[in-house]
Amino acid sequence: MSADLGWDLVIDWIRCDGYGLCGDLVPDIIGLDDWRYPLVHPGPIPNDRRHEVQRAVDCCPMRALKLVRAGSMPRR
Amino acid sequence: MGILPGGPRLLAGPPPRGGPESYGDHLARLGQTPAIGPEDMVTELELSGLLGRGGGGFPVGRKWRALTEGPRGPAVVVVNGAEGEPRSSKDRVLMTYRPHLVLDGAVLAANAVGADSIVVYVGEEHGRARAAMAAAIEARSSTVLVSIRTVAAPIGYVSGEATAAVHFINSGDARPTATPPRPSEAGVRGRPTLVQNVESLAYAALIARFGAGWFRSVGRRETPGTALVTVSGAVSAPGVREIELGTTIGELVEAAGGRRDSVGAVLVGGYFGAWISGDEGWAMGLDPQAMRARGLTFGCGMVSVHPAGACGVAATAEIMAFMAESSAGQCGPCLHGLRSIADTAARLAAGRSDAAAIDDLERWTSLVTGRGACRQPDGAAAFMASAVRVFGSEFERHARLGRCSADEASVDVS
Ligand SMILES: Cc1cc2nc3c(=O)[nH]c(=O)nc-3n(C[C@H](O)[C@H](O)[C@H](O)COP(=O)(O)O)c2cc1C
Ligand code: SF4
Ligand code: SF4
Repeated sequence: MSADLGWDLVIDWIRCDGYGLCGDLVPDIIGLDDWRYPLVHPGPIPNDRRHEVQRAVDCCPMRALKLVRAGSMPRR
Repeated sequence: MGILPGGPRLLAGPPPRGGPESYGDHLARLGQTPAIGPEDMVTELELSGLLGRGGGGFPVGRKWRALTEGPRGPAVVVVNGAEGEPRSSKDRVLMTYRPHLVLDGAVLAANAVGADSIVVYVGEEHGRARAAMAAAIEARSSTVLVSIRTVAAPIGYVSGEATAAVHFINSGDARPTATPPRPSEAGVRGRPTLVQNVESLAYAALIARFGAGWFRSVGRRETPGTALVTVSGAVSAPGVREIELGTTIGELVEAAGGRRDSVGAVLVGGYFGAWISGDEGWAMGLDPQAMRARGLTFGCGMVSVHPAGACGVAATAEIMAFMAESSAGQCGPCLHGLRSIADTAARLAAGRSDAAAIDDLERWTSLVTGRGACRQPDGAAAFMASAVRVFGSEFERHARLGRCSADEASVDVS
């Protein structure tokens, strides 16, 4: 499998506490909804943004985010 | 053509009013649980086209196949009789009157997927169904090779969701868990687990005896077979019926003593389902695949008749309040989103809101979809979206004038 398809961000909704930190770090990829929970923009995350998004993943205080190869997991 | 050519299947035999069918009567009527090998059983189920009856409509054969091909080691079968759907009673009717048919299906499932234990998970509030299942297990305790026990599912809409059931059986907490792992990968005690609705299992017990061809010999349109449905609302004879799939809502409503002119709208599929207008719904066939193609869901077979002239906004607000209340409260968009939707619908129903509220409703319903650990927000959102579609002019009237046409009707007659 190649990484050319980009990446998906998988959110564990039970863990996420809506601090909104991820959205503040990469606002053009992770928006925030009315309650400050992450709202990932549609479509896979391109390869050249992977490291920035990985930083948001690492900064999530609840460890609620995971980057996976695009299409490798159902979105929920 | 009646609503059930060839007669009842699950509810064949002595009239239900007589209480649970005894093991002796069950054996006399249907014989022993057939000795059918795992491969033949799964193949027959696949050929039958049986779809799950707990709400998701997933092909039962495919689910059993995945377990036979999945991780090795003894599996567990969870018999899902939680039935948390407020206007559904088909699962408890089945468990109460035909407990041995359900157990047959569970034993066949255990044999097919290599399970050495069965957990019968029945809603705590369904006392008669639980008693009937417990007595049925007791009656065959000396003949069954797997361990079977009952667990009372706590009251709540979400308790019957597959990961919630597994979570509760494992640790007494009936809130859904994140997936993966799915129960089929790591469920009860970490073992591969088949979670299957009681009605699905009872049909599997008949398919094992009479074959896929028999099962498919009825069904008017795309989905073969028969199904249990629960009819409620503006009909004179509400209750559980078995129907040929494809039977129209109109035929079912008439069979339940309802009339065309008494039907304002129909809620089909459960609180995860959708409103459909009386005009559109009357001729619509209750067929899971045909309904899915129209963006509707057969769900658990719930059909609730909303009387002509009653307020659709109030009826919607009431159900949305229940859905918000029954969120397990662990996923932000579900917790906050359903609450916002329910509060706004309630304000509209009470005539204390404006047109912007309808926009909010539409925005929030798309915002919560797909953003929870389970499908609770998706189901509630689909229901809400259907309300705006079907009762759109009533919603607007409430927003604009602060009251509804139902109020005026009652003013006219007084
Ligand atoms: C919120 C929620 C509640 C559910 N409640 C029930 C239930 O009470 N009974 C049931 O059989 N399935 C229920 N389900 C569906 C189960 O997750 C599961 O799909 C089903 O038991 C599988 O059996 P089936 O394939 O035979 O339908 C529920 C699903 C959700 C999302
Ligand atoms: S940083 Fe983590 S906890 Fe905070 S909103 Fe993002 S995913 Fe949720
Ligand atoms: S989506 Fe809602 S009901 Fe489902 S687990 Fe999350 S909070 Fe609970």
